[in-house]
Amino acid sequence: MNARPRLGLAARLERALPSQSILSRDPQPMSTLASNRTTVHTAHISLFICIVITALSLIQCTPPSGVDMNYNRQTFVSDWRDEVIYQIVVDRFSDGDPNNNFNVDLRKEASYHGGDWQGIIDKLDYLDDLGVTALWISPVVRNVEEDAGFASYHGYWTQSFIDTNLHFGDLAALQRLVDACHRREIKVILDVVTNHIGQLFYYDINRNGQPDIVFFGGGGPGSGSQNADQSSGLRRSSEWDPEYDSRGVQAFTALGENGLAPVEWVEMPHINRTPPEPVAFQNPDWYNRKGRVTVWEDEGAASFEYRREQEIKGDFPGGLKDLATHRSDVRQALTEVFAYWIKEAGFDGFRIDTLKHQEAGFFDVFSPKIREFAAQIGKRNFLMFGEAFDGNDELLGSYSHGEGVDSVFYFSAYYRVFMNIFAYSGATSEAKRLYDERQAKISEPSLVSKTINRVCRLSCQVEGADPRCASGYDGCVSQLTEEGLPRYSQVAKRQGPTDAQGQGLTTTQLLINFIDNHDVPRFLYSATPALTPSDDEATKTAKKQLGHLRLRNALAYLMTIDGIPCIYYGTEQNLSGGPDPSNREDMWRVGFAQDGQTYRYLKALIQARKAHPALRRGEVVFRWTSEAGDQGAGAGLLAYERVSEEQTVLVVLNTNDPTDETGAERALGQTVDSESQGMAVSFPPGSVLVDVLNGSGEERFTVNNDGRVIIALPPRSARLLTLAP
Amino acid sequence: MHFISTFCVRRLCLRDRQAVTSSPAPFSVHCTKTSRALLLTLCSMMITHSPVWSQDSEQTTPSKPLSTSSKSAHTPFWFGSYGRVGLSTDDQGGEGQKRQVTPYAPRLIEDNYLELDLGYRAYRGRHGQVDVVTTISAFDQLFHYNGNADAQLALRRMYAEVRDIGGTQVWTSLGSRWLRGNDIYLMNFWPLDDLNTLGLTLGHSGKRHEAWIHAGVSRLNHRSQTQYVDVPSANNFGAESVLMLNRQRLIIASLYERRYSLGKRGGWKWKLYTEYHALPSGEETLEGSFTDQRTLPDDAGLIAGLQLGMWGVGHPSNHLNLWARYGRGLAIYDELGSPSAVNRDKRSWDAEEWRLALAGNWGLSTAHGLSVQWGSYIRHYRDADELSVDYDDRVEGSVVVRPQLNLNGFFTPAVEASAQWSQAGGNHPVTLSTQAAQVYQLALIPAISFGRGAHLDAYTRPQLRLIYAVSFLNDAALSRYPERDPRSQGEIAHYLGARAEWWFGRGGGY
Repeated sequence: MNARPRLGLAARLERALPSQSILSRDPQPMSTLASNRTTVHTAHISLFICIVITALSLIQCTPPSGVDMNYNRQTFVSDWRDEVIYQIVVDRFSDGDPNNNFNVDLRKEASYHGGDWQGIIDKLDYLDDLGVTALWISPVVRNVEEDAGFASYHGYWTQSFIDTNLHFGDLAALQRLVDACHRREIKVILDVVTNHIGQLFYYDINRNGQPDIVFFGGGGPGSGSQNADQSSGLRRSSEWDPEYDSRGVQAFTALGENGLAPVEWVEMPHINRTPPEPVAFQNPDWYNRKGRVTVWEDEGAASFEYRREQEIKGDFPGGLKDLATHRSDVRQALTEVFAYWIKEAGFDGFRIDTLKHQEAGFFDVFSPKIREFAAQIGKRNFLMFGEAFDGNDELLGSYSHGEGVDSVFYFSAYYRVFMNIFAYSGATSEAKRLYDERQAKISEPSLVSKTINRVCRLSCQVEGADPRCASGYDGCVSQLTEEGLPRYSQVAKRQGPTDAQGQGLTTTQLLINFIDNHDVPRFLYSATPALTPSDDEATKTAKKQLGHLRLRNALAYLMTIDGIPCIYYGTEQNLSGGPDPSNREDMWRVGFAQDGQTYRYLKALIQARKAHPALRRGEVVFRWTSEAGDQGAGAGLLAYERVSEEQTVLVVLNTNDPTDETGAERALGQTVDSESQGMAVSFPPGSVLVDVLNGSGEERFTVNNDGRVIIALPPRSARLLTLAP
Repeated sequence: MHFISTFCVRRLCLRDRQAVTSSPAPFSVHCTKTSRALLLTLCSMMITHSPVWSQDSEQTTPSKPLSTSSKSAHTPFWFGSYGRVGLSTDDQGGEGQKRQVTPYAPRLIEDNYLELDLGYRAYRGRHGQVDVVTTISAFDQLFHYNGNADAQLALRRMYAEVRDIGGTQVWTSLGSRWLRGNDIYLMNFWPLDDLNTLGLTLGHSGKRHEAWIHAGVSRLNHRSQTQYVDVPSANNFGAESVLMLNRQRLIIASLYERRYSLGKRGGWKWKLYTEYHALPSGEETLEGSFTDQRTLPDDAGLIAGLQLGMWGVGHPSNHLNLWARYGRGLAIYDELGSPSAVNRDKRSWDAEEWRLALAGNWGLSTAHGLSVQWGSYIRHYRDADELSVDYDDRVEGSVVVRPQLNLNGFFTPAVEASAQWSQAGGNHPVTLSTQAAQVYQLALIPAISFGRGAHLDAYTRPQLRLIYAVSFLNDAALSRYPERDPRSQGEIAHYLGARAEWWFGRGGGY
């Protein structure tokens, strides 16, 4: 049976989107059109029936308000740097509606656990008290239910781009969440996946019409065979998730290769593994069909360029089928389906998944259109930031050029600062080094050429818009090649985020800082010395306490360095799970206590950030760092000023543990060098500095006549110093 | 007789081999050794004692109406039955299917169904009279239609009732039974009281009143109430299956009815009815384990309702009933169902339902025997979750009207018009529409009915009828069906069918 598409699908998109939708190619069923004519007649009859029944019952026949079509879509953001983002894996945060607990199994880490949007609404008081101002919630779209014993509780296995995942609620519930947040001036950021869909088709490599684990090859010697006489070269492949082949996944029969493997959509409604929706996404040509990424590092014979090719065109592990996002129709469709969510649910920004698995050119089209759409419906200052899960700072920076995403997750800082310095006690100079490298030029040849080509193509589209294009596209390329490109673009995006005065903000001002997230082990897991079976209770407690000290130390940096801080849910409750899925704990198991030490410390940091504009918007001037092997009172210290027009805040961090490797207690750290000189600061001589983070403010530090100051602070602590009133 | 008995058993239980080789449908009742024995006994009793069976078997001429009561003055046995059976087609040649968007809707298009009653007056004397009643029901599985030698059988009634205890008007009954009041025939719907339990009833019946109180239980074979779990054996290798979850729902119901005369043969009445439901807490054992458990909290519910009724004015079959009922919590879902939603405490107490219903039958013209049956109700339902915009919440109702002629004491053609209207409390999860689902149906029903001439009315049975029905559905009604259900495709649905319906000899508190 050729079932007609679901009623109202095209209408939903048409209502949400201002222009003719590429997705309205969904064949409009004749019966639907006919029903529009009969609706008028039935409406009269229904009115009559309604009156009759009303007369009988004295109950009014009032239709429900339903989802709010006149939703308040105003953006409350004046400057995204003022925001503190709190990341929530919806399934794991709070269960507010037990009725959507389908397939829930709390015993299995990789199953649905019951959290939902209502649960977040229930905990807004808690979040408000903590002080967060923006929520990033995991994807909302309907997913393939499960695969290989793993459930889609995380939301990244899209089956329908425009339906809600009913495990979390319906559209009305989502609107209620966003509305409830907006009433508290909390913004809501949606996690979107533009790179791939769930595992909805298989490659019919052996052309037998069913998904198999196939073996092919043979007939010649191969490595690894146990056949001592004549090894076979036999290869094993899963038709769900075959390895990358740059020609496209090839079919194979006993007589050899047999062209591109056909794409077979699967119909397993019991796990919602059904063809994607809207139906336009059922076009096999909309997928790259090259198989699973196998190369993740620049290793062996794989060049950086080849790795990037695989990452961009390959299926994401788990058989998540890669969309051909170089195609204009795919770009248009993705723009429409995600614009739909801005319109229907009122989101304030997008967190974009798997950024590095898409060509930057996709975002040069997607992002401006999203910005334009958001602006059309009154959402100015819509923020889009992407996840390029890579410590390669040049790669991260390359996405900031052009008109693509506004920002990226600052993975380089995650690895080089939060892990190396705060979790593993590395040299604090690495923080300054990374900061300075933002101005460095991109050195990777393929990144340079691709980024320059892209920038020039965009810049030279409008005649006279960019002086570098005076001698055309080629001239632009020549000029930029000669000058070199900084890692991060220094140019704000058109219609992109601005400050309160409407001045555009660049990516380096909007970098998303984080100490952990749902894809990496929790900070405490990494920073806490490993427990051993022989540890006694005192040792266990000491190790955990050390982890907590390191965590709070890292949070102090997170909340005071430039960029936008992002806190992973449960950090404030000392959650300490290891790699996925252990790092996605049920928040309700530890509770929502507001008196824990980490909770109170984080809350104080957020309050300090809110109270001091310099901590949010000020420039960074590093004042103190130390190298590995440094000795003396200043070793392990890190200090920087945040300087804004209104004020300057001096941040001093002591990253030393309370005891050294021998177990001896460490003395106070002091910003004093080997010549007993204090730390140079920008405060005028004689200034008295007071710590606004720790307690009463009785402890004061005076800047000497040389403009230097000695700040003392205990191991794993921080001071936020401003001029005493 | 031996032939008939054998025939009966063969027909009902024919398939020892097939039963073990075919895949059973969920909840189907197989013809097990027990049910075979039961049927054999039943058939034998019918053949031996039931005058109706004998009469029917002897091919009574159609013009001679069958007795509507089989209770014999000469025998303590009686036999009764309710049945409906038929065939149908749609405009594609398939089996006709009804279109329904409200929980109670016109019954015109319905499944085949059979009830067989068997009663025996076990005692009559100065201590009272004792009847034992058994009813076996067979659901829609006809071998001649689907080729499956299978049946879905249910033992619905099995109870003993004692009347006139000690010469008083006190009565009691014990066992599995239903306790029902007046229904809306056109919808197969009891708007106020329709209780199906295993329980004990104590009542008092007078000329002008009826009163009873009932305490019953049900424990559905559903994971929320019953769970057997394999646990390590106490004293042997392997496992033993243990009843780990054992939650009975307790239902306490009461009724008081007061009747008054109206005119020469008519009367009117009022009735108060209540139910209280209680379910204890329990521990559900999680799948794949015999130690991991989660608590299922206790739950409760209640129903309170009122009926006003009038009958026998103008014509013996004239009647008019008005019901109002309020329900809350567990009781809304009746004793054979489970709550569809719960609150944060995982209880259904916050669910609410209001019902208001009106139904009746009225003779309009004695010259041509024109009568009009109608039924209507409206219901407001809110489930126990706290969602203010909720597709599961409903305000809905249905109206059905069936004028019928009695042209010559035999030919009883009718037409039926009906409307169903269902407004959800939220958006459709797929279409996001808030449109009310609507189904309108018009039917022509040429029929022949067999009853005593003077008393021929809309309820005279047996009746054989032809049905042509056309249904009109709006988009919201179509979207109530799954996307790929053919019924979601057509705004107009045709039904052509032939059906027979009978009831007779219903004894024992129907």
